[in-house]
Amino acid sequence: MTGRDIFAGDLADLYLDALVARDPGRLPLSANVRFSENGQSLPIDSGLWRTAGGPITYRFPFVDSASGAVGLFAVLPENGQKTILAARIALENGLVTELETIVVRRMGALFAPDRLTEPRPLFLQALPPEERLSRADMIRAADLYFEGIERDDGAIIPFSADCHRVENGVRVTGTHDIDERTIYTETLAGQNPADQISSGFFHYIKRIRDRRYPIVDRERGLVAAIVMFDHPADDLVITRPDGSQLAMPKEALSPSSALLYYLFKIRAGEIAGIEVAYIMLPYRSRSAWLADGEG
Amino acid sequence: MSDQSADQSPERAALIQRLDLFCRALAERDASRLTLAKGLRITENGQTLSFGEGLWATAGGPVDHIHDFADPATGQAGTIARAIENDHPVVLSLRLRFEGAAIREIEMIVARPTEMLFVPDNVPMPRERLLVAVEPEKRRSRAELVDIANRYFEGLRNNDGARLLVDDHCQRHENGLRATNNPDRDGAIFHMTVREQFDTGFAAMITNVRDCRHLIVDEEAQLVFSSVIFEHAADERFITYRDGSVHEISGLYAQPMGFLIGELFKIVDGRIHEIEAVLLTIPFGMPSGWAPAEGAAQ
Repeated sequence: MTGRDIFAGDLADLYLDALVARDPGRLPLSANVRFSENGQSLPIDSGLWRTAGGPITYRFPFVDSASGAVGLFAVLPENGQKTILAARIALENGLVTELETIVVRRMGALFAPDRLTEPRPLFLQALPPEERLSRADMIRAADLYFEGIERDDGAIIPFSADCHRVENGVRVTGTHDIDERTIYTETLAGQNPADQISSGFFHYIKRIRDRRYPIVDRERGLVAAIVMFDHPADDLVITRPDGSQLAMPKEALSPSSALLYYLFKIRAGEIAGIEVAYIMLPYRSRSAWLADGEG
Repeated sequence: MSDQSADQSPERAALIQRLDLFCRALAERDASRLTLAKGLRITENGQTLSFGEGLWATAGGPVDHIHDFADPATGQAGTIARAIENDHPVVLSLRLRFEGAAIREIEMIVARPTEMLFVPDNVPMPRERLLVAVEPEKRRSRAELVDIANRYFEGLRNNDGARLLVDDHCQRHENGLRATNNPDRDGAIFHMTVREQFDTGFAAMITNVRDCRHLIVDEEAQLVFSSVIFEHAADERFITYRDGSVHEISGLYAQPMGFLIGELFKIVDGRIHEIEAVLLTIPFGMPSGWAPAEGAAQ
């Protein structure tokens, strides 16, 4: 099979099969293919390519029909331990030119690969044509989410009433069913996404930078965003607009950054669902995908 | 036993004094007492920062430093210390390069509470074997000191301790934890001497030793401070020790990852006498933040 014969949607399967076989040569790679794992530029045959195994227990591909770029969430074992994979594959002339991956490995905070089995039906549903937004408007809605976090203001974000967010397999909004050791207090987890943000709890996320929106699927209303959060840890306690004090969670008392891969479902102009895979990095880590001098 | 700082040269004393001034300024987050060179370069945990970010935005409380080192030949000084960040202790590896009186380079590794082997309160405890004075006639040359430190990393890179020069009583501390001859720690490797650890063949799990820079050579105290990255590709599930025993690679080491390390070697009688190290877990493939020759002591 040559690169040109591959439908973009099949590329995710081909990639996962190649990964389980630990053989990047099964992909139609451009001679100049760029690869990153967890924000680091690497040779294509390293990282998860040398540790992955089967079976794939979760796969959720999505496609940008305009650019042909493919996005993917998956769960697969690495040396016998389940990992969550979020990937982006860019194509030119049928050849893979960019492969960007975030591999979420067992970590102390939110991590529940076993809870990821099937994509949420919401994310698979095609939108009626009248509910589809332009590419620019979809990106604008997603970007408002990050603006809202930076400003501690959930009210500026166009959420649907039933929107909830899943982070590394764990639902973290509108539920008290969070048994992982986590920064989400029971109170916070019970809230909807807008109220969580307006509570000031996420004040420690001071900057959301290097925002990229590499995949937009207008038909299904999906926008993928890959961004970097900065947590300078320079506030122990904040004073909210109503004068009350709020202590920052202990996890936010050490400087760090986070690399996050978001998928937003945007329906009738509103954010109706959010899926996130993320990892922690040293504070102020640069994205491997910025040109020199950026960021 | 006399302390290495007792008969130091005025040049070394001046550098240690500037290091102390920096530590005091950091403790109070008051940079007004410091002279920063134009083009100051600062990294924390391998990332380039602007001055005032990272630990400079969170420190508060004494920076307890006793294991200091300085190199008048290159205008550098450093320490491995305990600092306070947002009311909790962290382990700090620090290197400063001065240009005249001004600070030109600041390189820090900050190991924070989620880091492995984290025992910050041990770090400021005086270690006599690190601090012991070496009489001038017994001192080794810069080149020899660097060679002895380098053999340590070469031994890990090649999983072969044959060329390693290490004293039988050498202790290695990592983020404050005693990682040698430590019966209180679970895991047979912690119960061994440095030499015994090398001889097991355990270093097969370290798949790459890169970005090794010997940064500061303290000729008077006979110390070498180096930075290095160990990588674990995790592409083998099992490694075989020299005695034929097979060991499963598990936990963190079953994932591709690395360690950014600041490592201080005390060298006496041509052997590594004592080791103090700061380790930071990093993503696989992360750069050090410095070009291979940058900051090097030679």
